[in-house]
Amino acid sequence: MMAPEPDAPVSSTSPLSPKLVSARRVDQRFLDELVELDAQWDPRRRRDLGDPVGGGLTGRDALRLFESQVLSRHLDFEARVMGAAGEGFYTIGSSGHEGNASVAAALRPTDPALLHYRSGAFFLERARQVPGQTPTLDVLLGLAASRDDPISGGRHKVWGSLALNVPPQTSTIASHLPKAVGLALGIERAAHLGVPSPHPRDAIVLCSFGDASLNHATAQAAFQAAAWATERKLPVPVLFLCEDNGIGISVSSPPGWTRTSLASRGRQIAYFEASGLDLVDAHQAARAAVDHVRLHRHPAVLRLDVVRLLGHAGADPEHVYREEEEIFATEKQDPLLCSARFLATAGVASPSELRDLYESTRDRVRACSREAVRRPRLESAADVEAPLAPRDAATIAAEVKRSAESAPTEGRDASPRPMPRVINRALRELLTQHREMLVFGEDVGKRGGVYGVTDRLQKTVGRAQVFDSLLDETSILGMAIGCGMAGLIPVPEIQFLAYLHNAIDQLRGEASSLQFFSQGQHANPMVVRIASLGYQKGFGGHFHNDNSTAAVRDIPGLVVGCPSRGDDAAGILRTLVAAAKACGTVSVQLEPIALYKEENLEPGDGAWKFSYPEPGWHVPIGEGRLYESDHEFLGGGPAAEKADLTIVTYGNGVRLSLLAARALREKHGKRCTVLDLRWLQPLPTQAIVDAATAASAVLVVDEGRRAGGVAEPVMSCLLENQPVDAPWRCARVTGTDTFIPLGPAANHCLPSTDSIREAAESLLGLNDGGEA
Amino acid sequence: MSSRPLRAALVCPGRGSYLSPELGSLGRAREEGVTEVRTSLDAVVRELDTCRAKRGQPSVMTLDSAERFSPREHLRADHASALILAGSAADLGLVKAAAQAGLIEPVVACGNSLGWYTALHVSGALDAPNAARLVDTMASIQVERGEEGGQLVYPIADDDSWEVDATRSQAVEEGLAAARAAGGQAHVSIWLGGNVVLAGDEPALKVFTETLPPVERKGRTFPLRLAGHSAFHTPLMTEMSGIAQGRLGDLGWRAPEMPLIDGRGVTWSPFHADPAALRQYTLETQVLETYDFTTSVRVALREHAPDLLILLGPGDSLGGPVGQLLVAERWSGIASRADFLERQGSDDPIVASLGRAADRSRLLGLLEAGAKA
Repeated sequence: MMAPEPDAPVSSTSPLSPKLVSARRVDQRFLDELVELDAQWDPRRRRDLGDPVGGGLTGRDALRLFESQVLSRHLDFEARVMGAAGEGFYTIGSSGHEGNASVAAALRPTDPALLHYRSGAFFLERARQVPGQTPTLDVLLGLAASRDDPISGGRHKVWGSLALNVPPQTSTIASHLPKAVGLALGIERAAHLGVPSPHPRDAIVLCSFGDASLNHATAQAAFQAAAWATERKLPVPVLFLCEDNGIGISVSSPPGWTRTSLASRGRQIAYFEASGLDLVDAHQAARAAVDHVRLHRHPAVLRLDVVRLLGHAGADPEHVYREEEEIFATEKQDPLLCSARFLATAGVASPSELRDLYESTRDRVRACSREAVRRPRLESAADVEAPLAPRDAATIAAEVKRSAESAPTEGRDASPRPMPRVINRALRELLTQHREMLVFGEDVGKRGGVYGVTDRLQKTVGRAQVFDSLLDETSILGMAIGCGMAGLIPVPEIQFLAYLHNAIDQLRGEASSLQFFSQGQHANPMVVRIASLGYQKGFGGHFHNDNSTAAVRDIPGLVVGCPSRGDDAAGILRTLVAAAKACGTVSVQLEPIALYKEENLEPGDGAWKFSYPEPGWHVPIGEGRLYESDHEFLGGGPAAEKADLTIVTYGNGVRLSLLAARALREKHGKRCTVLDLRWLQPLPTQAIVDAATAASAVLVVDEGRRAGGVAEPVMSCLLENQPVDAPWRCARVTGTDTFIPLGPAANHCLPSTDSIREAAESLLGLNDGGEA
Repeated sequence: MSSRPLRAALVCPGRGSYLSPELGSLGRAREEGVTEVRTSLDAVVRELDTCRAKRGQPSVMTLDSAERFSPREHLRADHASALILAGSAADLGLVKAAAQAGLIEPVVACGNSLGWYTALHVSGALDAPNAARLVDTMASIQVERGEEGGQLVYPIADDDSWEVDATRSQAVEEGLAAARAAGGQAHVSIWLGGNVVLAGDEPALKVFTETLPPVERKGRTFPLRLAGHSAFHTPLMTEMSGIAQGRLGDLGWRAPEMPLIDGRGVTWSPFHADPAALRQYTLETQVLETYDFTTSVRVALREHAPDLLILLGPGDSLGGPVGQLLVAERWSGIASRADFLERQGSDDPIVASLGRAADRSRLLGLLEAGAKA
């Protein structure tokens, strides 16, 4: 009844992998220190564990914090053992930062915490506060990239847990700071609106990050947004925790830099600091900071002085950029040494008890690791992708129906209206149906949006649901993520697609990845409306005519709708809001600015105005709209048995293609169908195949760019699905690979009715305007 | 390759573990020739008998050595509790002997319901006299007050696969809702692996019996009323908890010597457990709140990764639930009942149930071999 002893732990004497050298040194230094402390130990010094030891802690509290610190340390060691054995895949650790456990102790487990990758001891200390948690195996399963990892299911090693109110993210580039501000505002907004939120009314948000990532634009945007909101007298209960180890990978911060930067906004963001090597000092400062935020609902920042041990990660050659003396001097500041010294000196625990705690923790981490590495990993791409966008059409349709029945649609005025009026009415309807829905963005409130799409919404629905934000897209999207996490349905507006690019990581790296990294346990539903695409007559240049659809199509899991007419815009919005509510879906609606102002198909016919759709009608995700050859827009009459051509397009291209198809019929008697994709991601692939099958040729019209535009995946779809023995005749008309220029020159770079007709003639062999 | 003692989790059984096959098991354990067994058994029996003598009750060993098992006698709360604590204490002796022989290293303890009191003793949080007094007092209060509500057990796992059956879990939810709607006091008393113990007042129990779809198993029909059991782990026991706190105010509590996991999945650390809090939890919290044995074992597994789960006797009442929990956790590659049985038949079983003759003999054999070596 004996178990074989498997591979060597950090403390064994067997030859070491380079990943383990510094770990072993730090481990040994700690054990040596305990020997020294043991020699000085006087049992008469022992005191009752219930006695206070300072900083609002009892001896028992301090010992518990130490236990969390020790567990964090052994998980770091084990990560390296696993890595060296090829069984673990993540070695960025928390060693040296374990003082953050004191901050967890000052918070409540119901306070949401967005954690830095070195906040392991914080996470473990919080897990200790909630019954029934199993962080040891959970973390090891994350390191082993096992499918059984309860948070990410083997998709990434993250700090995350639903029960612990820790939404996972990768946190490497401070991209989680804007959403921390958003979550703080969202908790307050949900309470103000009286809608259910997963967070208590008096919760505060904790957001930790490293000193080097303070320099990221996203971090600065978050501080700016928090300060701006505070100046506007909005409650922003967020505590930023800067774990300041003074170095970012190999680049040291200038002395005092982090303090100077963080303390500079003292008027709006209260500044606290403490030594992260001293668990009492850290706890005292953390408590003061937490009390400040909870009581005043104002933001604060707590800077903890910590050290970085074991290098940046397992593979980091720290000796290349740091002198050995400097590395050793840092290791002597190990917070575990500081804690052990304090606990022994204060008579809380004897050095031999501390060693027992340390070694028994090592043993159980090792034992759990043996279990973790035998657990299954993700076995296929389908496994990996499963939680990317967990939604289904039936659930969404049911939610649309439920909402439609929940609030009567106002007035039955069915007269045709231009697109902005229809979208405006849809937003008003949805805001009424969903008290938790918010519309915000720059100028959407008082002004009613640059193009009047949100005109009078604030007046009719109220400032709590419709409001102006500051002019920063990163903050707008961070606000959306946070509000989504707080139980709201944010529908932010980005004024122009070109304005999205500086903020797009909020959509890409944060919003769209949350369900992926949490297997759908956490969600940040939202519908982002973006005024976009070219053909603007009033407002020229690339900023206001951006056609880079690839920027959003490329984001895994993100749903992208693009209506070409008002009724479809309303139907898409209903779908997206329902998907956000029922499935946590993150989506974008690209609204063609040029069509905001378009009322006609042919000049003066008023045909491009559409009636407000019936209650409950919506556009299911991935469903296109086919204009059959007998459609009135295509000249009416009996339908062709087989169309001569189908044009596959979206956005402005729909109207242009309809006009081109009319011309083909008038000039050549050719009968066309036109397929409006309506969804750019996921594409209506079956509709594309069906339209192609029912026509003799296919022309793809894409107002986006030739490289990376929507025409590329449509052409791929056609190529992959065409009959082997009778390939389809296909061609495409696209925008050119350029920024859109100012003035009439823009027309050289975008498809036009003429260029579409000419391409069709060429494809159908109708050269020189004659019959083939 | 060096070898090390097996990391062992100690799991203590609750009420209903001393049944007719266990009659005489205490006496037999004393005769096994393991000193630690006698010492450990005698230490709790001595105190139990002192308490019992004051009430003019027969000694524990007398009950154990009765000619035949009498449900009326042996299942009475005070007698049953004493026999169970004594049986577990005897097995604790066997565990200690195995640990001294370097075969195992107990790393964590937990228990089911009444087994929590035993786990307090096994982990060292209560010594033998204090543990005996706790068990005796809690049981005798119950006898004095008579039954207060009741418990019934219902399987939520499939008999063959051991997987939790969503339909039955749903039925339990609906049963609880129906009983509450009918004005009854209805609660989950114990989450017990593939079973749930429901508790409540008589109206609630009646609704459970009428609404839960009957399940036949080994000739018995579930939901099955547990005779002589009060509605433990529910607010119906509030008065009882108050009395216990009054009578046991001077019980000697200390931090356990190994991690001890309670019925919420909270770990009581040997380094910093607060004895006053342990008292509060034992005499109040767990008496009034659901005892989640499922979570306590889950935490033992996932935080301590034992190589072996030692189920203390008497009996083998936790064998099934623990097997079901291992399957639910996919622990150590065990994904089905068949996997579990195969593992148990191997040279490296994951569970050693000391109330099972075969497992007990195996451990005794290893001890004997160690002594000779």
